[in-house]
Amino acid sequence: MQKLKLGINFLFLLGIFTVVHTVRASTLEVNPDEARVPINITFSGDTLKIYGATDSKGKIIVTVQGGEANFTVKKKEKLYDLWVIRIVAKVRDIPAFYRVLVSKNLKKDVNTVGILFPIKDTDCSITMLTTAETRRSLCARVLAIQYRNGQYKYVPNALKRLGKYLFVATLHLPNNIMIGNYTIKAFTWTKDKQLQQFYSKSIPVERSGIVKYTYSFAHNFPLFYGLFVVVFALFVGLIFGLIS
Amino acid sequence: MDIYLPITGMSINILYLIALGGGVGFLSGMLGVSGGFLLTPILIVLGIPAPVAVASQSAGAIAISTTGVVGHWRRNNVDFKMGIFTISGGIAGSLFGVFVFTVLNTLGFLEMTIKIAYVLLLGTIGMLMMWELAWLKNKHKHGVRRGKFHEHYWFHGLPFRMRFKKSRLYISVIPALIIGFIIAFLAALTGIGGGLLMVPAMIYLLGMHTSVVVGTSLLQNMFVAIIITILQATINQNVDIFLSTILFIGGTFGTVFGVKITSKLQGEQLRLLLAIIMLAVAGNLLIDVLFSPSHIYNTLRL
Repeated sequence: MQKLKLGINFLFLLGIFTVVHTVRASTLEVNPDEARVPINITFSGDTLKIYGATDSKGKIIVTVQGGEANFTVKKKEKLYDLWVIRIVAKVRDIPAFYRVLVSKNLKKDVNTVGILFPIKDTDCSITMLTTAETRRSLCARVLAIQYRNGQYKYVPNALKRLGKYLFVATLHLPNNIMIGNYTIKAFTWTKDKQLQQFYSKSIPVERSGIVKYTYSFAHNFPLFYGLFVVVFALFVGLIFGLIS
Repeated sequence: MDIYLPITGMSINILYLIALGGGVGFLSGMLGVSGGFLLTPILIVLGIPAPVAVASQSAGAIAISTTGVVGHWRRNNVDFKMGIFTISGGIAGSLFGVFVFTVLNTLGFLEMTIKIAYVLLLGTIGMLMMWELAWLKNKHKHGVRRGKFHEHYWFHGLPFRMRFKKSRLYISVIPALIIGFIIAFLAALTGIGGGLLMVPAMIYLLGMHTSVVVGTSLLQNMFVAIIITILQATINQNVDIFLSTILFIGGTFGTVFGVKITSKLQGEQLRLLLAIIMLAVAGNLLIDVLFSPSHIYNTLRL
């Protein structure tokens, strides 16, 4: 199986190489056996190889973002000498997952060109803001927290050039990856030192098999699902109680 | 050995969950507490979103409580008559609790309310239980003869008095209804398992015998957990059947051992253990409330 996978990847790389040489166009592909990421009952994370080709000789950066989610922002405040938590705002539709994949440490450059975060601090949709804080500073804070909590990561040494035109980036998907469409973008520097996005591709992360059916049952028939859970739990509890 | 949980949206080691359910089931069978006050924070620490943790542990509590009820019933330790009144009050209390929960959550004061309520409730009851146990020990030491079977309060003499043979009581049903209501309200509002408050209330306020209290409290837990599970599944779609099944597989095994241990321990020993657990949880929360946090801001995925 491993050999077959290697063989397919080799043919795939050969294909990209041929395309680049013939039409000199930039391209980006994830490995052919991963056109989508299926989340089944045995899913415990995954590793994707992202192959690309470019005729640019500059540094390459690959970013991956997706899994838009809503968050509540909590703040600890001192009230009569007690530290209590208050919900200060809700932030909607920000990517729950973001990776910056680079060949070597380019953090300064990545930060300068504004792709250390998946969105700008002016682009958050914030509701229920109860503090005097501005929306922009709260958004910047939320994005920083995502890095602190490991949802966003800057990953050096995750990208390798394979000869003159080809490159490969390794992306690790965690076991708590959210369902949704993930966008892979590739950037390089132009001759006048400007960052240029040269390709983007979308890859779906989808539920599959029993995971899909259970989720669908719970969301489409919630009352029946609830009753099923209750009856099942009562039955198991009763059996254990009687045989013990 | 990982399993992906469809509603939780993450994979987790199945053995961790079985061990966790087993530990909580053991406490549940032994002390009559639902274990939610321990299980929910641990599940959150394991990375499970708080709403799913709360909802799924209530489904797990159904199986664990059922096993406990059957075990205690076979030892003739469940007062079903008293259970009917505490459950009736409990149904109304849990519905009202869910309503207040929603209001406080919308206003942003839910967590503050929960933490302060936890510290006050668990701390006060734990201290009172410790004090009472010390008083009893002192009484036994000086050879004072035991007087009345239990304390008679004025509310025991309210109208609608009834005989509860299993509990060896002849009291009004009004206190049982009100206690069931208040405790289910607090359980729905704060997430503190009903049993943790119900056991001391049955012993100290209703005057029930410790041996009957554990089984009867589990009966109440079972019904409250059924209501909460159906509400959570219907309104929030947060019940993960895989998570709750794994928890209750471990939990039911733990409960069986817990029930067996109960019959070997004295009432005072059970109460001491419960008081220590309550004070430990309250102390942990008090530290969290009193000392400066490492991060002022945090986020929670909805």
